[in-house]
Amino acid sequence: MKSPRGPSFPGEGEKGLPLAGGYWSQELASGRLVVARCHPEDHCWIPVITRCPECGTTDWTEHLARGYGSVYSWATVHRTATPASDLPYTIVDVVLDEGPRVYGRLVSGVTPEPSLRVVFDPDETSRLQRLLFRPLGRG
Amino acid sequence: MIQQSVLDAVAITGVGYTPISRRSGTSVLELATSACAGALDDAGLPASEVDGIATFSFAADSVPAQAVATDLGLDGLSWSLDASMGGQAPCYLVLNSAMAIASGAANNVLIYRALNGRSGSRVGQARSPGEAADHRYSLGFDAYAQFIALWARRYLIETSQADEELSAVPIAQRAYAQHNARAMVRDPLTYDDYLESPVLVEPFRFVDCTIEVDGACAVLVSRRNQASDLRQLPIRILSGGYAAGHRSGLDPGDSSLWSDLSRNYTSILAEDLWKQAGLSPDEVDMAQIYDCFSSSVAIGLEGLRLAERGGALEMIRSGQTGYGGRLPVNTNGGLLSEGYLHGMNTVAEGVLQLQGRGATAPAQQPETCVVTSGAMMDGSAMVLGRW
Repeated sequence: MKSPRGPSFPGEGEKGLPLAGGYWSQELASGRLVVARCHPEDHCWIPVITRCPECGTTDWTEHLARGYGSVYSWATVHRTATPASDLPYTIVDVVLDEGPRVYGRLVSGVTPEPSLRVVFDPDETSRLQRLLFRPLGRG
Repeated sequence: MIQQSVLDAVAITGVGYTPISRRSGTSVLELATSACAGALDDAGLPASEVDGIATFSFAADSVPAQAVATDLGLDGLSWSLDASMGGQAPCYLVLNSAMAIASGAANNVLIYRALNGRSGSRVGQARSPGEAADHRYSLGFDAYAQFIALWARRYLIETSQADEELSAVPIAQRAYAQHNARAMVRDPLTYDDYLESPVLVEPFRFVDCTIEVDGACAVLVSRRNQASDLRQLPIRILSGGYAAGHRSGLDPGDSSLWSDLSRNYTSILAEDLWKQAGLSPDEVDMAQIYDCFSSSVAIGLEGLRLAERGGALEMIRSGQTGYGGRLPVNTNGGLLSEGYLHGMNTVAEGVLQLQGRGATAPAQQPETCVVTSGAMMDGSAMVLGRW
């Protein structure tokens, strides 16, 4: 599909326009992690950006990411301005195997480390409306 | 980089501050006007000579240039700039003011940052519009300390350093702050004190983070041929520029497209900044590095090649950036100690130091000082000097 917001997206409005909130809210609701890949160069990115950020082309299609990645960086939050019940929690900056980096939550109880292999948890992401990663090889 | 002829057309001629506090008890407009009036008094320039004003605000936390022009009773403005920016802005606005003056659009430009950043809208939690921010906030990833913690973590990974090595920055800067009457925190800070500071977001403890404050700071930029009639030593801009690197993100807190979180915009600016200034990094006398968080100082010093890769924290710990050191850094105690006037006070301190009236008095009077604005994908910097 050529359009960044093709007709196959679940939950779209009648005219094929994205729902309010756009890419991320749809991904979180659907539990699918979609990446964009450009045809000229095979660059890959998160299609909240409308053209390829490397070559500027509008010639790209969407693909389902496999969901695997490695931890590039992280921030373990101990205190927040507004009360949070789940402190401490860890925000991970994950390099997907397809190339792009995304921010998500690491499941609780896991100590992050550089290059930790993680996998996207679609069910929990969809349930919590929050992109969630868990370490590979753990339930 | 900005052309030399533009920079040579201007001088920085005055500095103004309001008191810095946790609760100003007054309006942002009064803070802004007071800092601007202070800069005019400092320079000895009548308000009637001001024809340009530039300012910046983040998530609509300040008052526009026209409000200050009105409040100062100016006849009017022939140039103004209201930038929707964060800490990238101070050097950038000084450079834009130079361009306005060199082009003939203005003769005397006031630049201010004013906010009730503590008692009013807190800067650190200000939310950018757009989908990238919506996604971050859905994760509970919703404060600048958290966004920049990713940079600090990656910097520590890349340079094989432990979290606690960041302590060098707040400890060294607090040594300056003890002698800065404006600073919000002036108690000495030891390594043990550092370890007792609560963890906010790893690897940052509270003392790794700037202190949000109420207050304002202004500088005055004037046409050079008028500057010699004014009260203070005119300060020259030897070089300056702004850079946003490739894939700088969808908002100021979105670094997910930035390829290397251990390096920021300073790495892009460094070569041209030194070349235009006619200095090598080891020749500059002083540095005022934007320090919303401790790690930003390390990344900034290394980006500007003032320290070797992975060597900034050791350089600071060894005293080289202190009073008698070869490169005094953040001589007002930085944003970590003086308070978060969003880097406008970082520029002001550079100017004041070159005029021999900085917040503190390092052993050597500097002839040149590099100043940076910003900590992440984009930012601005200048090398300042005495004529």
